[in-house]
Amino acid sequence: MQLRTRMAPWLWLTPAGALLIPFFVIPVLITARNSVYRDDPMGFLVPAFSFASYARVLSDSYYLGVFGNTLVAAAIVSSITLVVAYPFAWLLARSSGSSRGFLLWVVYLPIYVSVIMRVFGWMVVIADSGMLNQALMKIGLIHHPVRMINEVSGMTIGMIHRYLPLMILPLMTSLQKVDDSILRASSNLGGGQWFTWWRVVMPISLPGAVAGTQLVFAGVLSDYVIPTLLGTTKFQLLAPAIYYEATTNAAWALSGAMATIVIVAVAAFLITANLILKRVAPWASV
Amino acid sequence: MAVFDRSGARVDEATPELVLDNICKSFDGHVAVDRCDLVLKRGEIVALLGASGCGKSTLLNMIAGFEDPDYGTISLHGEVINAIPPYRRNVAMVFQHYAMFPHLTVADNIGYGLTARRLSRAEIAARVDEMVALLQLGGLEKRYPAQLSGGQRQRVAVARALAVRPDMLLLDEAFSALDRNLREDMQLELSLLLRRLKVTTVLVTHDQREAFALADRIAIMERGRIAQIGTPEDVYRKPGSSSVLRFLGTTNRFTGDLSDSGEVSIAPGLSFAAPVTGIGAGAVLVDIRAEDIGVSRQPTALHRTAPAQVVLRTFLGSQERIVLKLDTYQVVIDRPAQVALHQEPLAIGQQVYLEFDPASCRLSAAG
Repeated sequence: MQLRTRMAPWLWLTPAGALLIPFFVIPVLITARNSVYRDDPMGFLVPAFSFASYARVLSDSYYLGVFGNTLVAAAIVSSITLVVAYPFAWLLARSSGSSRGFLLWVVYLPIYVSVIMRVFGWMVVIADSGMLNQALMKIGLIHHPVRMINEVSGMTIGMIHRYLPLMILPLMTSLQKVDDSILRASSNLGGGQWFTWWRVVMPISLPGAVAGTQLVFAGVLSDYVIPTLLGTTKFQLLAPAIYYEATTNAAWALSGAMATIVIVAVAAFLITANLILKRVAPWASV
Repeated sequence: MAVFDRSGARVDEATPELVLDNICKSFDGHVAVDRCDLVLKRGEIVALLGASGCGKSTLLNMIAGFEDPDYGTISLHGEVINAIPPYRRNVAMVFQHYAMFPHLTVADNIGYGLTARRLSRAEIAARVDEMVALLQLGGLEKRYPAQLSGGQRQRVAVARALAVRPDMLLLDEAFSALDRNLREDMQLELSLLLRRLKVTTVLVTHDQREAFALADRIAIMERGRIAQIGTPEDVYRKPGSSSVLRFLGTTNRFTGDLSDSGEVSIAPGLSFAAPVTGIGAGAVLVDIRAEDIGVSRQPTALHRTAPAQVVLRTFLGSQERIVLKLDTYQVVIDRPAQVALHQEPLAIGQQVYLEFDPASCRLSAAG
């Protein structure tokens, strides 16, 4: 009886566990195991324990470049989405009724549409003869089409669009805590608009900004579709590189090592961000 | 003793602290505040009392600067402040749900207005300590609002408002979120504190007990207008209109008939000589407070036949409430428990007669 009561909460995890353990946890563990095996041109994957793949990934300038590119892309996409999402999330948090419903629908809409569909949409917009170039030429801002598709710029545009909702939603949740009476209280106590933003709105929105950045950052680190379809091999990102190693090169140990490094890096990033948040916003966890 | 304001200028103590002159405000064609005048002396506490939607909160928001009047002027110690934004008015508000900054500790909440005024760290710390002592918040300085009880939050809200040494304090339904016992304790404590510090205060409430507990004068608001203003005794004892009478305390309303000879009849067997009113003969409304009516086992001078029936007796501690059925009316009578103690208790169903002083009735023309 006592055992049953103590076990009961864990029983709720059974359905999720039944799905996640065979289809997620075990493959990840296999990948991790592969990473310490050895790629062999004849025998494919040889079960001989070795850190050779890690040594190669962490010393070869090509692989280090891929890691660097991915971090740079994640940083750029997170920063831009943060700036773009902030005013929108503010508007969402301040609106109510049907206008709120409409704005939320706008946020969710891209999530409902397959990412492939959206990428093809962006191709139409940013292609050399696409709508964006034509519009810019028409208003005389440029004279020749600017190359965006299969460039870092096009990839960044696609990623910003893909990850914007993941930034807006947690930011909105935080900004909803800034209600009218708090803004009035600040003003009443002598805080002008800038003071109020800096001392009240910004700090209260910080947990949302951190949560959004975590989601976007982790998303970019493992994005395969957008770098493949909109990006360029001149600026190789991790997920396509891992895929390439695993399929074309059949280097399972090497790709396993790369994947394990990404998983560890994402976990380290999330934990660090949470620790920093605890320091700068201790109130959020009381 | 001479009094000086913050800039060091001598202040004439006779100058009113706050003057509202003919303030009007409407929202989308709906009149919220209609030609309100109000003058507060330095250190005076005035309650704006009224039902929800009477315009009292709008009036308070205009004093704070959150709303602009459509018409009229607001002056704070002689200076018109209509055009001054809220953050430059030295008027501090305690909000209904306290509007604590959730990300700041108690000490930082209290010091917020001082930081905004760019006081030095040392000055802020000293002032915060002073407020913590004044409102007995010792030991809570490092807590966050989420870690406080309702009563503690209210103390912080008051401390935060008083910390800036405001020219005026505004209380917006500041006690409504507390339980009754705590509310009464806080009302008493704040009343003593504001009088000791001589803080000019406007408080908005729908709770007449709160207005009575705190205010030197009460302004009763109805449909955007100040219907009556006076000391609590004045507005209670000498209500200027039947609506003021009915708003304060518990009041019975009868529909009666005023004859040409000046006799008012409100139920079969119950009539009395009308007090002088200037109302013509015909249908009249008669309002009498619950505590102004007595009960008698024998017929009285004004209630001679057709007695009323006791339908309910409720013990209210210091009072006893009796509900009678009289003709088609339900009559509520409150009497001190002491009086009831010395009499044989009334039984349910017992027949009784009303007695009251006709002068305590208020007559108004019906319809």
